[in-house]
Amino acid sequence: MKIFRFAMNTWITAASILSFLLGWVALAHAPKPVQNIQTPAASSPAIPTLVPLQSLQFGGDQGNTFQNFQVQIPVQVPNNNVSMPAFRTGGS
Amino acid sequence: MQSLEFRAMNTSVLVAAEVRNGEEASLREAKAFIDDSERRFSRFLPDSELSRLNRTAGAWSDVSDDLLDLLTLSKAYYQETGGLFDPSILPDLKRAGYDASLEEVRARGNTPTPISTRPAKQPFSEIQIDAAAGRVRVPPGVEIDLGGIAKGWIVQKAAQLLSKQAPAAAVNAGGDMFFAGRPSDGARWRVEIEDPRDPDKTSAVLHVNEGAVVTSSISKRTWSQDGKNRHHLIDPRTGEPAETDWLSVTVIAPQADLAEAYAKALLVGGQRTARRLLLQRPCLAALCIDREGQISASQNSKDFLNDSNHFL
Repeated sequence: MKIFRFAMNTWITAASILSFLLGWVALAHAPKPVQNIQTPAASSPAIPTLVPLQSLQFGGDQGNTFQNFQVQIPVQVPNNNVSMPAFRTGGS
Repeated sequence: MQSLEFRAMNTSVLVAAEVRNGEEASLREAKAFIDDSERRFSRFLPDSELSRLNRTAGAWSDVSDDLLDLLTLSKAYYQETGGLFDPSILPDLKRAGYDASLEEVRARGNTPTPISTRPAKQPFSEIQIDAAAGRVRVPPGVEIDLGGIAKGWIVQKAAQLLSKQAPAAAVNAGGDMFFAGRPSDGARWRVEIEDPRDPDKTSAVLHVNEGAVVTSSISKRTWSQDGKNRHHLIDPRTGEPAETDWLSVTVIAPQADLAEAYAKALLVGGQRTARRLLLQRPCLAALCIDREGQISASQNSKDFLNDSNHFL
């Protein structure tokens, strides 16, 4: 009987440790959850957007990386501040 | 907002500031600073401080604090960008046909290709700067053109001069601009990015706080050489006008000289080097427009495309 109890205890201990290790390994190799990056809604009136292109991949998303994104063309939204000069940039 | 428009540095210049009526003297002071800076740093004026420095290459030359500052900044940006920003491309510009003001070059019509091949020269990083003594030694055979950084440096200095007497000031020289302070109505400064394919169209609108907005483009300063269309943005690696992924690059930055140097480096380097350049200067935002009008941009540029967001 003592031998039986010893064997049972050993088996339970070994099975617990093995299960814990297997679970740890499984979680470590599990795929990361998908993150949805939402472009914030603009406050300007609805105007046509550019058709999205194939995204440029520069590897990784850390730091200040590039991406293609839709830019609302504000041609129809005039500068309403008549006292402010117009500032326009396009190279010189 | 009071403003003054004039021509300088071969482009249209606007100085603006929130000053009271009758106190426009500060605007004229800013104009005087810009005119004086052009006289000192233009490569087209034989008596400019820059032209004199170029003539004394190989020897130590005394320079002003401002020229010392420009050359120190240029050297730092040259090293940071791996040489993509390089002020020593003046011989290449001349070989490409840009050996006089753009008006004169265009008036000639077609410029013939020079017979000479690209001469070997020492890299710009070999320039020696003795800040304590206020002197510089340009390596022999090296000629410097500050056209890739001076305009930004000048507009920022002029705007900061204005801001001593006004809570909000802005200087725009041909699309390279610096904003000091913020308009009294609380709104951010509004800047339109021109479509490089059609200057009458707008590709995007930015809303910025204090800082610089600068654009480099291959569509503006162009001329004809041997029947080929040439532009002024030289690729220092080849000595020829750059073959670029984009038509224009707009950079938003805390400093205008930084924005200018990086706008050029990004445009010349293209997609292959853009990520590295932007990672080493996370304070910059960039928007790049290609031949189809599509925009590639850094993540933080979205901060400037929505009126409710803030500068970094």
